[in-house]
Amino acid sequence: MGIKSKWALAKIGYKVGIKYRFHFIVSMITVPLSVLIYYFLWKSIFSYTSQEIIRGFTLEGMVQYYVLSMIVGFFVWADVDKWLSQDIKGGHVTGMLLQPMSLLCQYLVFEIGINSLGILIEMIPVFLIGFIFFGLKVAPLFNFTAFLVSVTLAFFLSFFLSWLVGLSAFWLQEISGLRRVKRTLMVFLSGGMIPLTFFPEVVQKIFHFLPFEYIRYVPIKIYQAEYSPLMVLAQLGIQLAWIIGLYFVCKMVYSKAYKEFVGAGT
Amino acid sequence: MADNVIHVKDLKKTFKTYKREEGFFNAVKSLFKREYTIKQALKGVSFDIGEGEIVGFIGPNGAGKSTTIKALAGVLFPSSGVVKTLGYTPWDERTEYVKHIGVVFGQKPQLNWDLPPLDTYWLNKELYDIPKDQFKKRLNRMIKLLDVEEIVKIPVRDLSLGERMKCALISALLHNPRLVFLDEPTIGLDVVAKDKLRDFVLEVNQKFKTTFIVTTHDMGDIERLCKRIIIINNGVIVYDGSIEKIKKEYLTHKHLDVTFNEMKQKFKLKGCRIVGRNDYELKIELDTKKQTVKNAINHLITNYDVADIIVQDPPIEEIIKKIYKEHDGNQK
Repeated sequence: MGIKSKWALAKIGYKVGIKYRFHFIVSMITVPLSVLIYYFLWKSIFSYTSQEIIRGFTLEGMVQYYVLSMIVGFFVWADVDKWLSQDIKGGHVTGMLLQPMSLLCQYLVFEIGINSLGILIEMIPVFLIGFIFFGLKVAPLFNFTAFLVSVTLAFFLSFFLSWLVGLSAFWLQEISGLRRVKRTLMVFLSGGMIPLTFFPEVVQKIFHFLPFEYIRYVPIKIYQAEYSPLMVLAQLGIQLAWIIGLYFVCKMVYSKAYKEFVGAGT
Repeated sequence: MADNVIHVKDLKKTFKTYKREEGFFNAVKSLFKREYTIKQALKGVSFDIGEGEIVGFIGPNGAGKSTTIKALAGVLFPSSGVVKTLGYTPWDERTEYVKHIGVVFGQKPQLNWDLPPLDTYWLNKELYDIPKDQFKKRLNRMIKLLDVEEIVKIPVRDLSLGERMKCALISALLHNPRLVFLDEPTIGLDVVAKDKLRDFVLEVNQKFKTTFIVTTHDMGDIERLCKRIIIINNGVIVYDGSIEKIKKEYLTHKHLDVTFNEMKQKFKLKGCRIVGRNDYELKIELDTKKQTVKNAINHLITNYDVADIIVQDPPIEEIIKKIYKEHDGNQK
Protein backbone atom coordinates (compact mmCIF):
# COMPACT_ATOMS: atom_id res chain seq x y z
CA MET A 1 0.00 0.00 0.00
CA GLY A 2 1.72 3.06 -1.24
CA ILE A 3 1.62 6.78 -0.86
CA LYS A 4 -1.25 6.97 -3.34
CA SER A 5 -3.79 5.54 -0.92
CA LYS A 6 -2.67 8.03 1.71
CA TRP A 7 -2.96 10.87 -0.73
CA ALA A 8 -6.49 9.72 -1.58
CA LEU A 9 -7.44 9.64 2.09
CA ALA A 10 -5.94 13.10 2.62
CA LYS A 11 -8.12 14.35 -0.21
CA ILE A 12 -11.13 12.91 1.60
CA GLY A 13 -10.06 14.83 4.70
CA TYR A 14 -9.75 17.93 2.56
CA LYS A 15 -13.24 17.39 1.18
CA VAL A 16 -14.68 16.86 4.65
CA GLY A 17 -12.80 20.00 5.65
CA ILE A 18 -14.66 21.94 3.01
CA LYS A 19 -17.85 20.96 4.79
CA TYR A 20 -16.53 22.89 7.76
CA ARG A 21 -15.51 25.93 5.75
CA PHE A 22 -17.89 28.02 7.78
CA HIS A 23 -15.72 27.28 10.79
CA PHE A 24 -12.68 28.54 8.90
CA ILE A 25 -14.40 31.68 7.71
CA VAL A 26 -15.50 32.49 11.23
CA SER A 27 -12.01 31.97 12.58
CA MET A 28 -10.66 34.24 9.85
CA ILE A 29 -12.64 37.00 11.46
CA THR A 30 -12.07 36.08 15.08
CA VAL A 31 -8.32 35.53 14.85
CA PRO A 32 -7.38 39.12 13.88
CA LEU A 33 -9.86 40.25 16.50
CA SER A 34 -8.15 38.30 19.25
CA VAL A 35 -4.78 39.68 18.15
CA LEU A 36 -6.30 43.12 18.49
CA ILE A 37 -7.46 42.32 22.02
CA TYR A 38 -3.96 41.16 22.98
CA TYR A 39 -2.58 44.35 21.42
CA PHE A 40 -4.71 46.62 23.61
CA LEU A 41 -4.17 44.46 26.68
CA TRP A 42 -0.39 44.61 26.37
CA LYS A 43 -0.40 48.27 25.37
CA SER A 44 -2.08 49.17 28.62
CA ILE A 45 0.27 46.88 30.58
CA PHE A 46 3.29 48.48 28.97
CA SER A 47 2.07 52.02 29.56
CA TYR A 48 1.02 51.20 33.15
CA THR A 49 4.41 49.78 34.07
CA SER A 50 6.11 52.44 31.92
CA GLN A 51 8.72 49.96 30.79
CA GLU A 52 10.14 49.52 27.32
CA ILE A 53 10.88 45.84 27.66
CA ILE A 54 9.04 43.25 29.75
CA ARG A 55 10.63 39.83 30.06
CA GLY A 56 12.56 40.40 26.87
CA PHE A 57 9.61 41.64 24.84
CA THR A 58 8.93 45.09 23.42
CA LEU A 59 5.27 45.91 22.78
CA GLU A 60 5.85 45.38 19.08
CA GLY A 61 7.60 42.06 19.64
CA MET A 62 4.82 40.97 21.96
CA VAL A 63 2.11 41.60 19.37
CA GLN A 64 4.13 39.82 16.72
CA TYR A 65 4.46 36.94 19.13
CA TYR A 66 0.70 36.60 19.23
CA VAL A 67 0.32 36.88 15.47
CA LEU A 68 2.86 34.10 15.04
CA SER A 69 1.21 32.12 17.80
CA MET A 70 -2.06 32.21 15.85
CA ILE A 71 -0.31 31.06 12.68
CA VAL A 72 1.38 28.19 14.47
CA GLY A 73 -2.01 27.40 15.95
CA PHE A 74 -3.44 26.69 12.50
CA PHE A 75 -0.67 24.25 11.81
CA VAL A 76 -0.83 22.35 15.03
CA TRP A 77 -4.60 22.29 15.34
CA ALA A 78 -5.39 18.60 15.86
CA ASP A 79 -8.90 17.56 16.69
CA VAL A 80 -8.23 13.88 16.37
CA ASP A 81 -9.32 13.28 19.96
CA LYS A 82 -12.72 14.66 19.02
CA TRP A 83 -13.01 12.61 15.82
CA LEU A 84 -11.86 9.46 17.51
CA SER A 85 -14.18 9.70 20.48
CA GLN A 86 -17.08 10.51 18.18
CA ASP A 87 -16.28 7.56 15.99
CA ILE A 88 -15.98 5.24 18.95
CA LYS A 89 -19.36 6.30 20.29
CA GLY A 90 -20.99 6.30 16.87
CA GLY A 91 -19.71 2.84 16.01
CA HIS A 92 -17.65 4.02 13.05
CA VAL A 93 -14.44 2.53 14.37
CA THR A 94 -15.55 -0.98 13.46
CA GLY A 95 -15.83 0.13 9.86
CA MET A 96 -12.44 1.80 10.00
CA LEU A 97 -10.86 -1.35 11.35
CA LEU A 98 -12.05 -3.07 8.21
CA GLN A 99 -9.91 -0.78 6.08
CA PRO A 100 -6.49 -2.01 5.06
CA MET A 101 -4.64 0.79 6.84
CA SER A 102 -3.70 1.25 10.46
CA LEU A 103 -6.16 3.33 12.43
CA LEU A 104 -3.48 5.85 13.38
CA CYS A 105 -2.52 6.33 9.76
CA GLN A 106 -6.14 6.78 8.70
CA TYR A 107 -6.70 9.57 11.20
CA LEU A 108 -3.31 11.16 10.65
CA VAL A 109 -3.74 11.42 6.90
CA PHE A 110 -7.30 12.60 7.31
CA GLU A 111 -6.23 15.30 9.76
CA ILE A 112 -3.47 16.43 7.42
CA GLY A 113 -6.10 16.79 4.70
CA ILE A 114 -8.31 18.93 6.91
CA ASN A 115 -5.43 21.03 8.21
CA SER A 116 -4.02 21.74 4.78
CA LEU A 117 -7.31 23.39 3.96
CA GLY A 118 -7.24 25.36 7.20
CA ILE A 119 -3.69 26.49 6.53
CA LEU A 120 -4.61 27.61 3.04
CA ILE A 121 -7.65 29.58 4.10
CA GLU A 122 -6.44 30.97 7.41
CA MET A 123 -2.69 31.23 7.44
CA ILE A 124 -2.10 33.44 4.45
CA PRO A 125 -4.60 36.15 5.47
CA VAL A 126 -3.22 36.22 9.01
CA PHE A 127 0.33 36.55 7.69
CA LEU A 128 -0.80 39.44 5.53
CA ILE A 129 -2.62 41.10 8.40
CA GLY A 130 0.50 40.63 10.51
CA PHE A 131 2.73 42.22 7.87
CA ILE A 132 0.41 45.14 7.16
CA PHE A 133 -1.03 46.10 10.53
CA PHE A 134 1.20 44.67 13.24
CA GLY A 135 4.66 45.24 11.80
CA LEU A 136 5.45 41.55 11.51
CA LYS A 137 8.91 41.22 9.97
CA VAL A 138 9.67 38.93 7.08
CA ALA A 139 11.98 36.32 8.54
CA PRO A 140 15.34 35.52 6.91
CA LEU A 141 15.12 32.60 4.51
CA PHE A 142 16.95 30.21 6.83
CA ASN A 143 14.66 31.03 9.71
CA PHE A 144 11.54 30.92 7.59
CA THR A 145 12.43 27.51 6.20
CA ALA A 146 13.31 26.25 9.67
CA PHE A 147 10.02 27.70 10.90
CA LEU A 148 8.06 25.72 8.30
CA VAL A 149 9.92 22.54 9.21
CA SER A 150 9.39 23.25 12.89
CA VAL A 151 5.64 23.85 12.63
CA THR A 152 5.29 20.68 10.57
CA LEU A 153 7.07 18.75 13.30
CA ALA A 154 4.96 20.60 15.85
CA PHE A 155 1.85 19.36 14.08
CA PHE A 156 2.95 15.76 14.53
CA LEU A 157 3.70 16.40 18.20
CA SER A 158 0.31 17.95 18.73
CA PHE A 159 -1.35 15.19 16.74
CA PHE A 160 0.23 12.41 18.77
CA LEU A 161 -0.70 14.06 22.06
CA SER A 162 -4.29 14.46 20.87
CA TRP A 163 -4.25 10.89 19.66
CA LEU A 164 -3.25 9.69 23.11
CA VAL A 165 -6.10 11.64 24.66
CA GLY A 166 -8.42 10.27 21.99
CA LEU A 167 -7.35 6.70 22.68
CA SER A 168 -8.56 7.03 26.25
CA ALA A 169 -12.08 7.04 24.80
CA PHE A 170 -11.67 3.32 24.19
CA TRP A 171 -11.87 2.90 27.96
CA LEU A 172 -13.75 5.98 29.09
CA GLN A 173 -16.23 6.46 26.21
CA GLU A 174 -16.98 10.06 27.16
CA ILE A 175 -13.89 12.27 27.19
CA SER A 176 -15.17 15.79 26.59
CA GLY A 177 -13.98 16.85 30.05
CA LEU A 178 -10.57 15.39 29.51
CA ARG A 179 -10.38 17.07 26.12
CA ARG A 180 -11.09 20.46 27.68
CA VAL A 181 -8.30 19.94 30.18
CA LYS A 182 -5.96 18.91 27.39
CA ARG A 183 -6.83 21.95 25.30
CA THR A 184 -6.25 24.37 28.13
CA LEU A 185 -3.00 22.72 29.16
CA MET A 186 -1.73 22.62 25.60
CA VAL A 187 -2.39 26.29 24.99
CA PHE A 188 -1.05 27.36 28.37
CA LEU A 189 2.08 25.22 28.49
CA SER A 190 2.99 25.78 24.87
CA GLY A 191 3.04 29.53 25.33
CA GLY A 192 -0.23 30.33 23.62
CA MET A 193 -1.59 32.36 26.53
CA ILE A 194 1.59 34.21 27.55
CA PRO A 195 5.19 33.78 26.36
CA LEU A 196 7.00 31.15 28.41
CA THR A 197 9.57 33.74 29.60
CA PHE A 198 6.88 34.93 31.99
CA PHE A 199 7.18 31.77 34.01
CA PRO A 200 9.78 31.46 36.81
CA GLU A 201 13.20 30.23 35.72
CA VAL A 202 12.78 26.84 37.37
CA VAL A 203 9.48 26.23 35.65
CA GLN A 204 10.98 27.23 32.32
CA LYS A 205 13.72 24.66 32.86
CA ILE A 206 11.13 22.01 33.57
CA PHE A 207 9.34 22.98 30.36
CA HIS A 208 12.41 22.03 28.37
CA PHE A 209 11.73 18.46 29.37
CA LEU A 210 8.06 18.53 28.37
CA PRO A 211 6.81 18.33 24.80
CA PHE A 212 4.53 21.34 24.99
CA GLU A 213 6.90 24.24 24.30
CA TYR A 214 8.00 22.49 21.12
CA ILE A 215 4.47 22.76 19.80
CA ARG A 216 4.24 26.55 19.78
CA TYR A 217 6.90 28.48 21.62
CA VAL A 218 9.91 27.02 19.83
CA PRO A 219 8.62 27.56 16.26
CA ILE A 220 7.81 31.17 17.14
CA LYS A 221 11.30 31.72 18.53
CA ILE A 222 12.74 30.22 15.38
CA TYR A 223 10.77 32.61 13.23
CA GLN A 224 11.82 35.54 15.37
CA ALA A 225 15.45 34.52 14.80
CA GLU A 226 16.23 34.25 18.50
CA TYR A 227 18.29 31.09 18.18
CA SER A 228 21.66 30.64 16.55
CA PRO A 229 21.58 28.37 13.48
CA LEU A 230 23.11 25.55 15.50
CA MET A 231 20.54 26.05 18.22
CA VAL A 232 17.77 25.94 15.61
CA LEU A 233 18.97 22.55 14.40
CA ALA A 234 19.17 21.35 17.98
CA GLN A 235 15.57 22.41 18.59
CA LEU A 236 14.39 20.64 15.45
CA GLY A 237 16.29 17.57 16.64
CA ILE A 238 14.52 17.67 20.00
CA GLN A 239 11.18 17.97 18.23
CA LEU A 240 12.00 14.96 16.12
CA ALA A 241 13.08 12.99 19.17
CA TRP A 242 9.79 13.79 20.89
CA ILE A 243 7.86 12.66 17.83
CA ILE A 244 9.67 9.35 17.68
CA GLY A 245 9.22 8.81 21.40
CA LEU A 246 5.55 9.70 21.32
CA TYR A 247 5.01 7.52 18.29
CA PHE A 248 6.15 4.49 20.24
CA VAL A 249 4.03 5.41 23.22
CA CYS A 250 1.06 5.79 20.86
CA LYS A 251 1.72 2.40 19.36
CA MET A 252 1.88 0.79 22.74
CA VAL A 253 -1.27 2.43 24.07
CA TYR A 254 -3.06 1.70 20.82
CA SER A 255 -2.37 -2.00 20.93
CA LYS A 256 -3.87 -2.02 24.44
CA ALA A 257 -6.83 0.04 23.26
CA TYR A 258 -7.38 -2.24 20.29
CA LYS A 259 -7.47 -5.27 22.54
CA GLU A 260 -9.88 -3.48 24.84
CA PHE A 261 -12.09 -2.56 21.90
CA VAL A 262 -12.20 -5.90 20.16
CA GLY A 263 -12.44 -7.62 23.52
CA ALA A 264 -15.47 -5.62 24.51
CA GLY A 265 -17.01 -6.39 21.19
CA THR A 266 -18.69 -3.08 20.59
CA MET B 1 -8.34 -28.27 5.37
CA ALA B 2 -6.04 -26.18 3.22
CA ASP B 3 -8.61 -25.37 0.57
CA ASN B 4 -11.18 -24.19 3.06
CA VAL B 5 -11.89 -20.49 3.12
CA ILE B 6 -12.90 -20.57 6.75
CA HIS B 7 -11.85 -22.91 9.48
CA VAL B 8 -13.25 -22.31 12.95
CA LYS B 9 -12.49 -24.61 15.82
CA ASP B 10 -13.89 -24.41 19.31
CA LEU B 11 -14.38 -20.66 19.26
CA LYS B 12 -15.30 -19.25 22.64
CA LYS B 13 -16.09 -15.76 23.78
CA THR B 14 -17.08 -14.46 27.16
CA PHE B 15 -18.17 -10.89 27.78
CA LYS B 16 -18.07 -8.95 30.96
CA THR B 17 -21.12 -6.76 31.11
CA TYR B 18 -21.55 -4.18 33.80
CA LYS B 19 -24.95 -4.03 35.28
CA ARG B 20 -26.60 -1.20 37.05
CA GLU B 21 -29.90 -1.06 38.79
CA GLU B 22 -32.03 1.86 37.78
CA GLY B 23 -32.40 4.95 39.89
CA PHE B 24 -30.26 7.85 40.98
CA PHE B 25 -28.77 6.19 44.02
CA ASN B 26 -27.58 3.21 42.03
CA ALA B 27 -26.10 5.49 39.39
CA VAL B 28 -23.98 7.14 42.07
CA LYS B 29 -23.12 3.79 43.58
CA SER B 30 -21.94 2.51 40.22
CA LEU B 31 -19.32 5.24 40.15
CA PHE B 32 -17.53 3.49 42.97
CA LYS B 33 -18.43 -0.11 42.70
CA ARG B 34 -19.41 -1.76 39.50
CA GLU B 35 -20.93 -5.19 39.45
CA TYR B 36 -20.63 -7.26 36.39
CA THR B 37 -21.96 -10.48 35.05
CA ILE B 38 -20.07 -12.79 32.77
CA LYS B 39 -21.92 -13.82 29.70
CA GLN B 40 -20.84 -16.66 27.50
CA ALA B 41 -21.66 -15.47 24.02
CA LEU B 42 -19.96 -18.36 22.23
CA LYS B 43 -19.50 -21.72 23.91
CA GLY B 44 -17.27 -23.54 21.49
CA VAL B 45 -18.29 -23.05 17.89
CA SER B 46 -16.70 -25.07 15.09
CA PHE B 47 -17.34 -25.14 11.37
CA ASP B 48 -15.62 -25.09 8.00
CA ILE B 49 -16.69 -23.24 4.91
CA GLY B 50 -15.39 -23.95 1.42
CA GLU B 51 -14.80 -21.62 -1.48
CA GLY B 52 -17.82 -20.33 -3.36
CA GLU B 53 -20.36 -21.27 -0.73
CA ILE B 54 -23.14 -19.00 0.41
CA VAL B 55 -23.85 -19.89 3.98
CA GLY B 56 -26.79 -18.56 5.94
CA PHE B 57 -26.02 -17.86 9.54
CA ILE B 58 -29.19 -17.73 11.56
CA GLY B 59 -30.28 -17.69 15.12
CA PRO B 60 -32.52 -15.74 17.48
CA ASN B 61 -31.45 -12.38 18.87
CA GLY B 62 -28.41 -12.64 21.10
CA ALA B 63 -27.55 -16.12 19.88
CA GLY B 64 -23.99 -15.18 18.96
CA LYS B 65 -24.30 -14.59 15.22
CA SER B 66 -22.77 -11.14 15.16
CA THR B 67 -20.12 -12.15 17.67
CA THR B 68 -19.00 -14.94 15.36
CA ILE B 69 -19.03 -12.68 12.30
CA LYS B 70 -17.00 -10.05 14.14
CA ALA B 71 -14.42 -12.58 15.22
CA LEU B 72 -14.18 -13.79 11.63
CA ALA B 73 -13.83 -10.24 10.33
CA GLY B 74 -11.07 -9.52 12.82
CA VAL B 75 -12.80 -6.83 14.84
CA LEU B 76 -13.32 -9.01 17.86
CA PHE B 77 -10.83 -10.87 19.95
CA PRO B 78 -12.18 -14.26 21.02
CA SER B 79 -11.48 -15.75 24.45
CA SER B 80 -10.18 -18.95 22.96
CA GLY B 81 -10.32 -21.09 19.87
CA VAL B 82 -8.85 -21.20 16.40
CA VAL B 83 -9.95 -19.13 13.45
CA LYS B 84 -8.26 -19.37 10.07
CA THR B 85 -9.80 -17.35 7.29
CA LEU B 86 -8.14 -17.35 3.88
CA GLY B 87 -5.09 -18.60 5.73
CA TYR B 88 -4.97 -15.63 8.10
CA THR B 89 -5.69 -15.27 11.76
CA PRO B 90 -8.04 -12.29 11.41
CA TRP B 91 -7.22 -10.27 14.53
CA ASP B 92 -3.46 -10.78 14.24
CA GLU B 93 -2.89 -9.78 10.63
CA ARG B 94 -5.69 -7.27 10.36
CA THR B 95 -4.50 -4.81 7.72
CA GLU B 96 -3.26 -7.54 5.40
CA TYR B 97 -6.30 -9.74 5.90
CA VAL B 98 -9.01 -7.11 5.37
CA LYS B 99 -7.77 -6.48 1.83
CA HIS B 100 -9.29 -9.80 0.86
CA ILE B 101 -12.63 -9.51 2.58
CA GLY B 102 -15.72 -7.37 2.29
CA VAL B 103 -18.04 -6.62 5.17
CA VAL B 104 -21.45 -5.04 5.44
CA PHE B 105 -22.83 -4.55 8.91
CA GLY B 106 -26.45 -3.65 8.35
CA GLN B 107 -26.66 -1.81 11.63
CA LYS B 108 -23.43 0.11 11.47
CA PRO B 109 -22.37 2.89 9.18
CA GLN B 110 -19.31 2.24 7.07
CA LEU B 111 -19.49 5.00 4.52
CA ASN B 112 -18.28 8.48 5.30
CA TRP B 113 -21.29 10.31 6.64
CA ASP B 114 -20.39 13.68 5.18
CA LEU B 115 -19.61 12.59 1.64
CA PRO B 116 -21.40 10.98 -1.29
CA PRO B 117 -20.70 7.23 -1.60
CA LEU B 118 -18.88 7.89 -4.87
CA ASP B 119 -16.08 9.63 -2.96
CA THR B 120 -15.72 6.63 -0.70
CA TYR B 121 -15.55 4.34 -3.73
CA TRP B 122 -12.71 6.34 -5.20
CA LEU B 123 -10.95 6.20 -1.86
CA ASN B 124 -11.42 2.43 -1.84
CA LYS B 125 -9.87 2.26 -5.26
CA GLU B 126 -6.65 3.63 -3.77
CA LEU B 127 -6.88 1.82 -0.45
CA TYR B 128 -7.29 -1.54 -2.12
CA ASP B 129 -5.13 -0.70 -5.08
CA ILE B 130 -7.74 -1.55 -7.71
CA PRO B 131 -6.63 -0.95 -11.33
CA LYS B 132 -8.56 1.93 -12.84
CA ASP B 133 -10.21 0.16 -15.76
CA GLN B 134 -11.31 -2.73 -13.55
CA PHE B 135 -12.58 -0.32 -10.94
CA LYS B 136 -14.66 1.61 -13.45
CA LYS B 137 -16.06 -1.47 -15.08
CA ARG B 138 -17.03 -3.03 -11.80
CA LEU B 139 -18.44 0.17 -10.37
CA ASN B 140 -20.61 0.89 -13.39
CA ARG B 141 -21.90 -2.65 -13.41
CA MET B 142 -22.79 -2.57 -9.74
CA ILE B 143 -24.40 0.85 -9.95
CA LYS B 144 -26.55 -0.37 -12.79
CA LEU B 145 -27.48 -3.65 -11.14
CA LEU B 146 -28.56 -1.97 -7.94
CA ASP B 147 -30.08 1.00 -9.71
CA VAL B 148 -28.27 3.71 -7.76
CA GLU B 149 -26.95 6.06 -10.49
CA GLU B 150 -28.18 9.20 -8.77
CA ILE B 151 -27.99 7.99 -5.20
CA VAL B 152 -24.21 7.57 -5.16
CA LYS B 153 -23.80 11.30 -5.72
CA ILE B 154 -25.76 12.33 -2.63
CA PRO B 155 -24.06 12.68 0.79
CA VAL B 156 -24.69 9.57 2.86
CA ARG B 157 -26.41 11.51 5.64
CA ASP B 158 -29.28 12.33 3.25
CA LEU B 159 -29.85 8.75 2.13
CA SER B 160 -32.49 6.35 3.39
CA LEU B 161 -31.54 3.15 5.21
CA GLY B 162 -32.11 1.00 2.15
CA GLU B 163 -30.16 3.29 -0.13
CA ARG B 164 -27.30 3.33 2.31
CA MET B 165 -27.34 -0.45 2.42
CA LYS B 166 -27.04 -0.73 -1.34
CA CYS B 167 -24.21 1.77 -1.39
CA ALA B 168 -22.44 -0.05 1.44
CA LEU B 169 -22.72 -3.31 -0.45
CA ILE B 170 -21.01 -1.78 -3.47
CA SER B 171 -18.27 -0.44 -1.23
CA ALA B 172 -17.75 -3.89 0.28
CA LEU B 173 -17.49 -5.63 -3.09
CA LEU B 174 -15.53 -3.15 -5.21
CA HIS B 175 -12.17 -4.73 -4.49
CA ASN B 176 -13.50 -8.12 -5.51
CA PRO B 177 -12.93 -9.78 -2.14
CA ARG B 178 -12.77 -13.54 -1.89
CA LEU B 179 -14.83 -13.62 1.25
CA VAL B 180 -17.79 -11.41 2.12
CA PHE B 181 -19.69 -11.04 5.37
CA LEU B 182 -23.18 -9.65 5.17
CA ASP B 183 -24.73 -8.93 8.55
CA GLU B 184 -28.44 -8.48 7.98
CA PRO B 185 -28.03 -7.05 4.50
CA THR B 186 -31.70 -6.71 3.61
CA ILE B 187 -32.79 -4.94 6.78
CA GLY B 188 -34.95 -1.96 5.93
CA LEU B 189 -35.13 -2.73 2.21
CA ASP B 190 -38.32 -2.76 0.17
CA VAL B 191 -39.36 -5.87 -1.75
CA VAL B 192 -37.89 -4.76 -5.07
CA ALA B 193 -34.64 -3.66 -3.50
CA LYS B 194 -34.35 -6.96 -1.62
CA ASP B 195 -34.75 -8.84 -4.85
CA LYS B 196 -32.11 -6.75 -6.57
CA LEU B 197 -29.69 -7.17 -3.76
CA ARG B 198 -30.15 -10.93 -3.70
CA ASP B 199 -29.74 -11.22 -7.47
CA PHE B 200 -26.65 -9.19 -7.19
CA VAL B 201 -25.13 -11.39 -4.50
CA LEU B 202 -25.92 -14.50 -6.54
CA GLU B 203 -24.33 -13.04 -9.62
CA VAL B 204 -21.14 -12.08 -7.81
CA ASN B 205 -21.03 -15.51 -6.21
CA GLN B 206 -21.37 -17.36 -9.50
CA LYS B 207 -19.04 -15.13 -11.47
CA PHE B 208 -16.14 -14.88 -9.04
CA LYS B 209 -16.71 -17.87 -6.75
CA THR B 210 -16.92 -15.39 -3.90
CA THR B 211 -17.76 -16.95 -0.57
CA PHE B 212 -20.59 -15.27 1.30
CA ILE B 213 -21.67 -15.54 4.89
CA VAL B 214 -25.05 -14.02 5.48
CA THR B 215 -26.74 -13.44 8.79
CA THR B 216 -30.37 -12.58 8.56
CA HIS B 217 -33.78 -12.86 10.09
CA ASP B 218 -35.38 -12.81 6.67
CA MET B 219 -36.05 -16.35 5.48
CA GLY B 220 -36.45 -14.97 1.99
CA ASP B 221 -32.72 -14.26 1.99
CA ILE B 222 -31.99 -17.79 3.09
CA GLU B 223 -34.23 -19.47 0.57
CA ARG B 224 -33.00 -17.39 -2.34
CA LEU B 225 -29.32 -17.36 -1.52
CA CYS B 226 -28.16 -20.22 0.62
CA LYS B 227 -27.74 -23.89 0.05
CA ARG B 228 -26.35 -24.39 3.49
CA ILE B 229 -27.36 -22.93 6.80
CA ILE B 230 -25.79 -22.83 10.20
CA ILE B 231 -28.19 -22.29 13.05
CA ILE B 232 -26.77 -20.98 16.26
CA ASN B 233 -28.58 -20.65 19.53
CA ASN B 234 -27.25 -19.64 22.94
CA GLY B 235 -23.71 -19.69 21.63
CA VAL B 236 -23.84 -23.24 20.30
CA ILE B 237 -24.34 -24.50 16.78
CA VAL B 238 -27.54 -26.50 16.76
CA TYR B 239 -27.70 -27.25 13.07
CA ASP B 240 -25.23 -27.19 10.21
CA GLY B 241 -26.25 -28.57 6.86
CA SER B 242 -28.15 -28.09 3.65
CA ILE B 243 -31.61 -26.64 3.51
CA GLU B 244 -32.78 -29.77 1.73
CA LYS B 245 -31.57 -31.90 4.59
CA ILE B 246 -33.22 -29.74 7.17
CA LYS B 247 -36.48 -30.07 5.29
CA LYS B 248 -36.18 -33.82 5.14
CA GLU B 249 -35.28 -34.10 8.80
CA TYR B 250 -37.69 -31.67 10.26
CA LEU B 251 -40.49 -31.62 7.75
CA THR B 252 -43.09 -33.93 9.18
CA HIS B 253 -46.04 -32.05 7.78
CA LYS B 254 -47.43 -30.83 4.48
CA HIS B 255 -49.91 -28.06 4.01
CA LEU B 256 -52.89 -28.62 1.71
CA ASP B 257 -54.94 -25.63 0.65
CA VAL B 258 -58.16 -26.94 -0.84
CA THR B 259 -60.79 -24.87 -2.64
CA PHE B 260 -64.24 -26.39 -3.13
CA ASN B 261 -66.94 -25.59 -5.63
CA GLU B 262 -69.37 -26.80 -3.09
CA MET B 263 -68.82 -28.38 0.30
CA LYS B 264 -71.53 -30.81 1.22
CA GLN B 265 -70.08 -32.97 3.95
CA LYS B 266 -67.51 -32.47 6.67
CA PHE B 267 -63.92 -33.38 5.87
CA LYS B 268 -62.37 -36.05 8.00
CA LEU B 269 -59.30 -38.19 7.34
CA LYS B 270 -56.69 -39.96 9.43
CA GLY B 271 -53.51 -37.93 9.93
CA CYS B 272 -55.10 -34.71 8.78
CA ARG B 273 -55.89 -31.70 10.86
CA ILE B 274 -57.88 -28.69 9.81
CA VAL B 275 -55.98 -25.54 10.66
CA GLY B 276 -58.13 -22.97 8.91
CA ARG B 277 -61.41 -22.74 7.06
CA ASN B 278 -63.87 -20.43 5.43
CA ASP B 279 -66.88 -20.97 3.17
CA TYR B 280 -65.13 -22.57 0.22
CA GLU B 281 -61.65 -23.20 1.49
CA LEU B 282 -59.94 -25.57 3.86
CA LYS B 283 -56.39 -25.44 5.16
CA ILE B 284 -55.25 -28.91 6.08
CA GLU B 285 -52.11 -29.95 7.89
CA LEU B 286 -51.08 -33.44 6.95
CA ASP B 287 -48.82 -35.59 9.10
CA THR B 288 -46.64 -37.44 6.61
CA LYS B 289 -45.98 -40.24 9.06
CA LYS B 290 -49.62 -41.17 9.32
CA GLN B 291 -50.93 -40.30 5.91
CA THR B 292 -49.62 -39.92 2.37
CA VAL B 293 -50.31 -36.93 0.20
CA LYS B 294 -51.45 -39.20 -2.59
CA ASN B 295 -54.15 -40.79 -0.41
CA ALA B 296 -55.39 -37.50 0.84
CA ILE B 297 -55.76 -36.05 -2.65
CA ASN B 298 -57.50 -39.19 -3.83
CA HIS B 299 -59.87 -39.00 -0.94
CA LEU B 300 -60.63 -35.37 -1.64
CA ILE B 301 -61.23 -35.79 -5.34
CA THR B 302 -63.45 -38.81 -5.09
CA ASN B 303 -65.61 -37.55 -2.24
CA TYR B 304 -65.82 -33.80 -2.76
CA ASP B 305 -66.41 -31.28 -5.50
CA VAL B 306 -62.89 -29.89 -5.53
CA ALA B 307 -61.87 -26.84 -7.57
CA ASP B 308 -58.22 -26.60 -6.62
CA ILE B 309 -55.61 -28.19 -4.39
CA ILE B 310 -52.29 -26.62 -3.47
CA VAL B 311 -49.75 -28.78 -1.70
CA GLN B 312 -46.80 -27.07 -0.08
CA ASP B 313 -44.21 -27.34 2.61
CA PRO B 314 -44.76 -25.26 5.69
CA PRO B 315 -42.64 -22.08 5.59
CA ILE B 316 -39.03 -22.55 6.64
CA GLU B 317 -39.73 -20.24 9.58
CA GLU B 318 -41.77 -22.99 11.16
CA ILE B 319 -38.88 -25.41 10.97
CA ILE B 320 -36.44 -22.93 12.38
CA LYS B 321 -38.81 -22.08 15.18
CA LYS B 322 -39.07 -25.75 15.95
CA ILE B 323 -35.30 -26.14 16.05
CA TYR B 324 -34.92 -23.16 18.36
CA LYS B 325 -37.58 -24.53 20.66
CA GLU B 326 -36.20 -28.03 20.65
CA HIS B 327 -32.80 -26.74 21.61
CA ASP B 328 -34.13 -24.47 24.33
CA GLY B 329 -36.02 -27.46 25.67
CA ASN B 330 -32.87 -29.59 25.73
CA GLN B 331 -31.04 -26.97 27.70
CA LYS B 332 -33.51 -26.79 30.49
